[in-house]
Amino acid sequence: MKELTTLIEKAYRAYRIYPRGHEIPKHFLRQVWEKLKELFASRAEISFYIERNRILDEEGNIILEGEESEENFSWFLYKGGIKGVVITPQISLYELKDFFEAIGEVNNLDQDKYALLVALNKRNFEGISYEIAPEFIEDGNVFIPETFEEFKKLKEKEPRSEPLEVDEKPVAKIEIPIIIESREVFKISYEEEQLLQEEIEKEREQNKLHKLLIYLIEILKESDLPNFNRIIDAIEELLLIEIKNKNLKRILSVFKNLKQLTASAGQLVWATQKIKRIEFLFRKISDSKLISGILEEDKLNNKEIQEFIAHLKPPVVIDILEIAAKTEKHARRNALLKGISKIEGLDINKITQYLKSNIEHKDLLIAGIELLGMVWDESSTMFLESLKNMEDEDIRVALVKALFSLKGDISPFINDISSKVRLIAYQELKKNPRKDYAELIAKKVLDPSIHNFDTLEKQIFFSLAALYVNNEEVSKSIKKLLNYRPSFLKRIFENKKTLDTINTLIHSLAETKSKKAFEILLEGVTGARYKKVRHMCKETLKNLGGGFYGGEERNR
Amino acid sequence: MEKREIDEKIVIWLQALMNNIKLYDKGHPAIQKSLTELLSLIKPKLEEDGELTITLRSWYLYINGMRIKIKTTNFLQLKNFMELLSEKDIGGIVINQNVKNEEVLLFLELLTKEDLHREDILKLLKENEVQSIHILPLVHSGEIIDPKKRVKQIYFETINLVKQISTTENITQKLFSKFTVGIYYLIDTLKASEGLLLGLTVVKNYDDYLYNHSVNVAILSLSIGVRIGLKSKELLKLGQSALLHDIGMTQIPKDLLVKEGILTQEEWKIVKTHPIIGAEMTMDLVGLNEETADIILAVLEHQKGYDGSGYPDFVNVKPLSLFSRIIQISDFYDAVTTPRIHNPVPMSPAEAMAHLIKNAGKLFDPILSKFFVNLLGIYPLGTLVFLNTGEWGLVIGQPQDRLNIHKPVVLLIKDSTGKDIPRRIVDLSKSDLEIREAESPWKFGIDPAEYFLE
Repeated sequence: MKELTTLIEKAYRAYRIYPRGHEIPKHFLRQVWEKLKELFASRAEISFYIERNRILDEEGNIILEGEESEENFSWFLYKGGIKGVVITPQISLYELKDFFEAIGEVNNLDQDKYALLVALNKRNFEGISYEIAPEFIEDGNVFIPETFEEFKKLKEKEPRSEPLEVDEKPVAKIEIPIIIESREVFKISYEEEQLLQEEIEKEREQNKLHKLLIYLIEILKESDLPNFNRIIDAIEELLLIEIKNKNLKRILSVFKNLKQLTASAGQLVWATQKIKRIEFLFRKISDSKLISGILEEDKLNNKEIQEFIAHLKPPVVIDILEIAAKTEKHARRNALLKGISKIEGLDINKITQYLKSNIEHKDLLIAGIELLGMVWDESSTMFLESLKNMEDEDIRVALVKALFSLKGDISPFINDISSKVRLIAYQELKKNPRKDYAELIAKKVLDPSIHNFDTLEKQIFFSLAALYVNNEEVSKSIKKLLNYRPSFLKRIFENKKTLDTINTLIHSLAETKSKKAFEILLEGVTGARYKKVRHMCKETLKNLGGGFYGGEERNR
Repeated sequence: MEKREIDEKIVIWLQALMNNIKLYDKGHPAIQKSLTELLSLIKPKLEEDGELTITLRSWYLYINGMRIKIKTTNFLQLKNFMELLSEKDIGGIVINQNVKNEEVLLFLELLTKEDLHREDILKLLKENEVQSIHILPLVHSGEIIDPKKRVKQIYFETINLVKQISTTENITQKLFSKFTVGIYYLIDTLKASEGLLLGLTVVKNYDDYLYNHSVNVAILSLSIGVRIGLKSKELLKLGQSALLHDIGMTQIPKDLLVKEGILTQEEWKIVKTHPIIGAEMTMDLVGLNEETADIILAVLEHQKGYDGSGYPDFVNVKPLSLFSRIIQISDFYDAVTTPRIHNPVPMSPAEAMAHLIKNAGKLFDPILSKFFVNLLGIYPLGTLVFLNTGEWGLVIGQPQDRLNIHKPVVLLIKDSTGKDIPRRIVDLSKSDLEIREAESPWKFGIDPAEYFLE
């Protein structure tokens, strides 16, 4: 036993000195564990009695003694209000570790003499029990009546329970013998036991915070001003926990409720003050230090992230923008930016100012451009257009998209020196064709530089041009290209590249399946000056057969 | 039989065997019978654990490390046994697997001899070559406190703690820790002396009812909690919830609480805010986090019925939490069986129980209601019963056998004319006496505390 208590004391000291997970306390823990196993081979229990500075075994032998200092395990237990410890074979290594960890948590018994008991009782021990020193919680001022006469002296003068509601006073007109007859009233079936155990398990797993939040929101709706402030303080506290735990769904449900409450504020007493307080809550939560965990959590739903941000207040915008700039996943980045764009009272000027002063930070600037592309604002467009000469092609790519979505001018990018930028410009125009770009496209069809484009660009550009085939300018240019004289084409370009361009154009026209395109191709069959072009038009029409718009005409 | 029940029976049979040894010769059938009973309980334990240790530690008795639970009806036997060990300076008895019947008889015979102390007994055991029984010295000298006295002390200490917590404006960490430790202590005591503590719940009208009521609700709720197998951490939270469930009442104007007539609708509206005020106060007290949400919810929901009735009535978040459902039952029971200024004759405990049964599944959780009925019986402690002989009795204990739930242990207090008689305990399950009627003792001017406190 002496060996055991010596080992326990070593483990105790180690747990108080070293941080959790350190090897030294673990080493002593294992030693204590081995010793316990050895002792339990011949004993049904191990008990210690704690005296001021010593520990005694069941027979009253001193098995540990030391000075009156916290170095001494017995002194520590004594000071912490424990007068006996019993260990039984039900103990597990995990439980033993938990016991020492609880002890390690107790910093200063002088400050809070109950700290050890509180730390131990936070845990569920199966194989360790301890006896609390009764004098530890006794209060000398409490009168304990020894007799009924003494008790009568204490009798109440002013009862302070809730009164019973007279209307609802329960009336029990049940014949007790009937209850006894049925016996069901006290027989708990196996199924009922099981059901209850399932409910208990469910309760254990359930997070009660959300339920409490729902209650608080309802109470909030009914509260007068002083109470309102207390309740909303509590809601705020709970929200911060939910934010820390990244429970986005629950947060959103509270947000929605608070917003609804604000919306229906007209009916509330002290409406202005209440709204102000709710606004204050949203401002407080709009702090990137608090919410970055949510924004950076991959597992969360992007739509919900977007909704979450939309509820926040403008001061947090720049921080979220910075997070978005570092976010590689497109969907998340987009959710972050869309969320910002929906924040009420968003100040575009502040964002553009910030971007101007960080113009050398490419990622940030691109994220900013993307964001501005989501917010319809004159100053956004102006700022974006001012960036059109930026050297970096990625920035220009972002600009094309942003400007196009804002209906700004992307014409400079259609003839950009970078094919990447040009491609994006064509794609944007394809997604949403705009008449005002027809002239530009018509010109570009005849621009000799297109023959030097790679196949992809030719395909994308002509599929764009084909979309504008009903435009007179564009159709004129297309016809003109199809009707160039071979000598002219050969003189300027290499024959192969020219034919490739025309071939791509013909196919793009065919893909539109429009009447105009059919007419142009038909014209090409008979009218093109270059034999090879005529042949291409003919073959394309043939291949298309009845699927072509003209097919219908022809059948008729 | 539960392990704890077996342990309790071991002590009862030890005590019975010692009594028989005092009265009869060794060969007497009464001795043989009690020895056989005792050994039938001890043998499986010896086989399982290798030895049997009975340890006396301050005012608790342990068998192989498990504390013995004391019931109201037999705490006297336990108390006597503990006192006997204490007088003889014996702190423990260790019985080995190879123990012989004669050794047990000899040891108990020595134990019954008034003039023999531990040292003498040890010597005589050695002389008689008894090797399978060993006795240990009492480690903590000093008084072995009467369990009832100790339980009473805990009961009133807890009332004081609730009062302090409810009325102190700036609660220090130390006070809150003390409150928490007080609950551990209550749980600890409940596990050992449930019957005695439950008996004290019939004590009403302490100087301030609210705190008395809260402690009663805590004892009843914790008893259910223990029975349905809650873990110690959960019991702590349940205890906190129950002790604080009515804390909001401290903020309700006093004149409403002492009003003798019926409250107006407006006044009721004010009283009905107490769960919300209580929840706010509890938040301040226990903090707001995942661990404390249970406690706050219980305070908030304790006036809600299982079916969603009750108040706060503007919100229904079903289902009610487990703690709320437990506390709601205990709260109802203690409240309706307590006399108030506006209701001096409350329901009888049996009537309250009948009401509970009738409304199980509607106002009250159906399964927990059954646990509650099993805990208190259909004639709960403190019920005034009239027997077929016309005698008056107070229910002071429940029968061991659940099938005899209608035959509790009764303390006879008056004859058929209502005159006091020498008090006598009768276990109706072992007697021909029967209950004819059950009433509230208050209706007949009887305060059950008179019988449960002394």
